[in-house]
Amino acid sequence: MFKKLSAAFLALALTIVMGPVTPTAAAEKEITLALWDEVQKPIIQQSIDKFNVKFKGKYKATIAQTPWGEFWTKLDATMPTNKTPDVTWMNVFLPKYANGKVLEDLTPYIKKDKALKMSAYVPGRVAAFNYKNAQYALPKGMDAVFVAYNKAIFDKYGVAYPRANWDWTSLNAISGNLARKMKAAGATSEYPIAMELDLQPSSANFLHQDGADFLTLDKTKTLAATPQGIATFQKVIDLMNTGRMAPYTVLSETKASDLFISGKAAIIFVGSWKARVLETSSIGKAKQIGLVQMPKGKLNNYSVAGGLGYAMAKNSQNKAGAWELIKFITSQQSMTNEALNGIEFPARADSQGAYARGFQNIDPSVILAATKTAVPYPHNGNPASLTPLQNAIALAYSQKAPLAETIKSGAEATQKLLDDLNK
Amino acid sequence: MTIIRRYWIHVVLILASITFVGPFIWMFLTSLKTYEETIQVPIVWLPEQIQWVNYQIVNEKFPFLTLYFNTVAVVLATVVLQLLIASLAAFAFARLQFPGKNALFIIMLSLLMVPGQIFLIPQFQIIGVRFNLIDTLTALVVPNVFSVFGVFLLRQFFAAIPQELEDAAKIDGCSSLRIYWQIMMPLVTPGLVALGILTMISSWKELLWPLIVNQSIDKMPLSAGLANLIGEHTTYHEQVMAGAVISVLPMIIIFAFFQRKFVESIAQTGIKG
Repeated sequence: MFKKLSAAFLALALTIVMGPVTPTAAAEKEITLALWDEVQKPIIQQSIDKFNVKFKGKYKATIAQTPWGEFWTKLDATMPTNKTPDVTWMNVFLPKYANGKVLEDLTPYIKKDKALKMSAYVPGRVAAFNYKNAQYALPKGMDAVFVAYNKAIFDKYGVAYPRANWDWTSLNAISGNLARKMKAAGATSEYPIAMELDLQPSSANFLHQDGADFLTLDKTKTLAATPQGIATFQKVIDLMNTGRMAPYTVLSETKASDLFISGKAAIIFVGSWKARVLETSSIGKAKQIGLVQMPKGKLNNYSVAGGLGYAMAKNSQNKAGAWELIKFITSQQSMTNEALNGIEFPARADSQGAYARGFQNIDPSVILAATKTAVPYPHNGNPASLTPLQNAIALAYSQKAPLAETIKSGAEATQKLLDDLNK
Repeated sequence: MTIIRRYWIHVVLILASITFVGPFIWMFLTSLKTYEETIQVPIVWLPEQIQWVNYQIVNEKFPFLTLYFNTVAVVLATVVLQLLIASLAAFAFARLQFPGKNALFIIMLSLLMVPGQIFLIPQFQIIGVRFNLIDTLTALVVPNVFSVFGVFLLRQFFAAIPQELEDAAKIDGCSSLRIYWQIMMPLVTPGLVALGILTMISSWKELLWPLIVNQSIDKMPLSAGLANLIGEHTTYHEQVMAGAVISVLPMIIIFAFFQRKFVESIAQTGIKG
């Protein structure tokens, strides 16, 4: 009996798996949108639903979500084929795909489309997706880096909050003050400052603010190994060595934002992509989180900013529909919805106002102001060329090797790769 | 055996079981926490208030029943077809004489030396594009029904069977196919069980290929569905763990029932998955 049952079950499984694919009614042309973020997906789905209503009978869009870790591998496999997603999220990796000739140049579409106003998008974000005079994506959102501080910790130790327009001198003074008082109170697992070791919310900003860019705007040079660059790394290492910042061993084990939300760090440098987490944390709900711009370095306090865009696959089987979708999901209506739900700071000016309404517990005006002066995140779309320098920075922060030599050899290796790329 | 020696053995065994069970308990406890509790420093071991709601959230996000069904169907189909194909090839390599046999076997074995990721893009081009199997359960089965390792493993079992049995069958007029099916297959059962179990485990936890070739959530196995919970900047660990608990439960139940077979088969081959 058991044998017969299991044989029947097996047969059933085989038939289902190997059975013919039932064709779907092909009245509507299907459009696939590839993205990776689980948190954003439900909100973007709302826009997709509206798109499907608007184009009922003509197009039907669906989201294909692949987690970040596998997203680019999947894109590499699918984009050269005719089974590619029609529209995809794109970021700083754009040059790789543009060079690989798998992205559709949107310039002719933009020129033809009289109703589309490119001026609605923030110029810096439009430029970020323009490669060799071709526009490959319409911008979605933008991010920025700022400082969050835990008012409760400042109050506990009787230290004044950081003020707007502060600089590294005041950062040193405030964190030194906190460090002394924490030490006196015997608080060994509390830290005045925490930062992510990832460059985007930390070192890439410090370097730019000191005029020693990780990668220059034209993406041909790194200034990290200049005397100013070395001094910038030194000031961060000094923070660690004087107890004003959590030591490397802690930062390499625990995310700075986790330390902050756990009430273990008074100050963090943080990206706007964490705004929602701050807003909904218990210290956020207790109105204990203050926000302020980054402290001014040698030149300025500008943060680096990335952001996503929507690109079209060259092999898309339905380019007209894909173009409609790109326009629809970057429209004022769609972006305002994303802003209201706090998942994105829109790259269009006419939707940005809605962003502030999504927050009750933290002050979004600081994030807004940070985006105004932000400069593009230093990346050339070729991760391999930047890796030697990134590794050198991590090694320098760990202090297992001498700072200047480590950074110099990392920068030299990266510069050589950059020179080869730009030949 | 002295009492002290027995005592030490128990200490070692208890430590070993804690090491193995620890992650499961940790997974379960994390699935009952709030997001903030999962990222607290220092670690919060027990949830202040048990959050069964995490299970409800992942249950709403994913059609778990469909994911289960997909996984079971794909695993079963893969195991059956792989056993059939691998045993046929193994039989040929072990028992039949044909020109170029050894060369062919070595060429085939060389595939074992190459990391599987290298085949990813060509595999997608063949299965996804050429055969037009994108977003189907079939696409999850087909690449895994051919297993070089399986052929290699079973060949050793077939080779160990005494020649006299085959000769006797031949004298009685058995064809090669019949020798394979009626004489040899029952004798290599331990090998088949071992390969079946190893294939089942690897097929159950396969992640990258399903994510590459399939798109809709209702054509995904559990592993790939769960991976979608991992965000770029923020991962809700409690939801991932709740999903993980739901997806490993059947494996735990199966293991509890077939524990003896599992251990036996691995002891037979000396190989673990």
